[in-house]
Amino acid sequence: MTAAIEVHGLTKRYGSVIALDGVTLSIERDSITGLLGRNGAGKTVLMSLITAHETPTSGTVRVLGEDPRENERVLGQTCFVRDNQRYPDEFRVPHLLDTGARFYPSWDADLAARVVDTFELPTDRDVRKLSRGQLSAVGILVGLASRAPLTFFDEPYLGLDATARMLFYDLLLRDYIAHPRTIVVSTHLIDEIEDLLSRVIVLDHGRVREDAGVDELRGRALRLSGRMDAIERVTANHAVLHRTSLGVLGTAVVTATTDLADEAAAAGLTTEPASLHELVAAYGLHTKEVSS
Amino acid sequence: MKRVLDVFALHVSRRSTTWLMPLWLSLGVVAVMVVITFAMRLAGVDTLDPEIADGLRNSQGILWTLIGFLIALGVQSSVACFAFALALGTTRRQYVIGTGLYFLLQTAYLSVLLSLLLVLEKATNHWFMGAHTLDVWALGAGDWGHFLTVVPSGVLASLALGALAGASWLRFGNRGPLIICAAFVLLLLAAILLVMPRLDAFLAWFSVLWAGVALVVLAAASLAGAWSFLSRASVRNA
Amino acid sequence: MFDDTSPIFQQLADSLADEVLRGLYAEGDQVPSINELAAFHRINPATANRAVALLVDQGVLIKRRGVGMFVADGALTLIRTARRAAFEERFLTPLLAEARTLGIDPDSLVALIRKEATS
Repeated sequence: MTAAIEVHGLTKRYGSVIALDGVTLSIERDSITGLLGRNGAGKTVLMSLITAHETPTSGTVRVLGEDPRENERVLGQTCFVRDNQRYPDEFRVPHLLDTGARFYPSWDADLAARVVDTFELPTDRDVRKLSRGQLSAVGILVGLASRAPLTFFDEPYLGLDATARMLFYDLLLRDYIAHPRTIVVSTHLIDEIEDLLSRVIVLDHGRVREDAGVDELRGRALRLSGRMDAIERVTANHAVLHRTSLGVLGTAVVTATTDLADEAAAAGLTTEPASLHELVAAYGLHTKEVSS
Repeated sequence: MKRVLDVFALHVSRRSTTWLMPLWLSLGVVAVMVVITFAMRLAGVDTLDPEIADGLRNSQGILWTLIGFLIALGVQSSVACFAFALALGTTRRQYVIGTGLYFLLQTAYLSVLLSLLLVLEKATNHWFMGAHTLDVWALGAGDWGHFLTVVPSGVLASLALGALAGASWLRFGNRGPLIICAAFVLLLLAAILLVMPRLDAFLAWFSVLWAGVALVVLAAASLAGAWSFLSRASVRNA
Repeated sequence: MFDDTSPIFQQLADSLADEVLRGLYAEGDQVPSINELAAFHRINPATANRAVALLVDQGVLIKRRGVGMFVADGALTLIRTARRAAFEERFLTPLLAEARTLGIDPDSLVALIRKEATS
């Protein structure tokens, strides 16, 4: 079956700034993919290019096997509400519900109503006057209720408190289970969402750092702790993603290899799998190329 | 095709902008002229005098005011719904055509409004004080053939020019409208330079019908230009 | 409920096996569907699917087409055997290592175990 999204050597430049640099990846249908990375890593740009909101500087994008640019058939199956989405003037939540129903044959009015209730969205106010959290809820509303075969959520949790975020994850997962579709969520709150993901793509300075299943990625790095000199010795020929130290002690997040765990144990270091969060943060903390 | 109509519906769902603004616009323009005429009367000018009335018919204030506001309306309409329509998976082509249909609606609506106001103006002896707002030479001095040719085509052209400016802003940011203005001024200059030496011939050939056609062509060209800008505009700044 | 020490599907499979071992599901009982498991544990259905597939492979669960997932006959024995095999590595090795660190020799350790078992 064709992948839902396929991207080859995708590059996007804004003047002298390279937002995406030769990105190649594919996203399969009916999956939830997490797009992780720091601010400015290129997450929103990537989603913009996939949904033809922007044009590539070079490289190709294929959505459902076709070029999405000005492609009615393909684009009509996508939904991408961004975190700073601009809405038409005079728009209130009821307008959104009407418009959504009109634009998407798959629109689920009941689900939309449920989201309005869950987030207690005011229906009498101009959408542009809503708080940051309410705006996020609106984005979630449109993304979820559209049931678009390709739905993108751009940092959907901004302004939402922990409870509201949990409600979102629940709504998302339950609807996905009942009606599977291809979902891409950009986030840097990895801990909270990683269980929902089937796949993770980590972007750093416009490049793909990781593109793997969640389980695969979790085994990707180890956190060693103990004496700094022992750590240095053990990791001499390994890719160290991040180091911290406190006096003679320290920790290091290192790309895992088969012998590393044993060597570390032999050197008296404690070894634990690095969490996804640590892995992603470690990439972002580097300002220069990490050799691997 | 359906999505084009959806875009049209999206525009129309902004009820206040669609139905009230043109109303206020039309009434406002009339009101301003009435106030000016009233001021003139206070200053002692007998605006009901036929000779003076004829002079008042030369007033072009309403023309430029209307054009200005309509261009602004065109800008707003083209920009307001663009980002959201694209978020919902609309192509730029669908958006431009849908917005074009919306402009046709606004043109029809405004034409009806202004026509009603012209009827009222004539019936009330120019608002009871010789305030010529719509009964002016530019709009045909009361001649319906002239009025109904120039007004719809003029409204459409203004809206389309606004859309062009709005699209240029979406494409180029703040430089966009600047470029459009500059281009427009240059075109105007070129037109004047072309016409002035042959003014007599031009005036002989000129007819209201050609003016109407020219405006419709201008509208079509503007929309085509808007489309070309929008096709490469990013949604980022919208 | 899940931590990041090992893949979630593994932890879920272990947890289901545990429930069978503790008698919460008897042999022949129906277990929750993949979708139910996913929704309950707040995990991706693909992960739940992997966990169940693993247990089916091991012979702990069987799939009855159109009906659902059931605990297989003989599942209890299977799980116990597997757990016994892993017992040494999972519990004994760390126990001995900790005892060594604390200076408790094997004989003293055995005495401690006996005392704990009878109390």
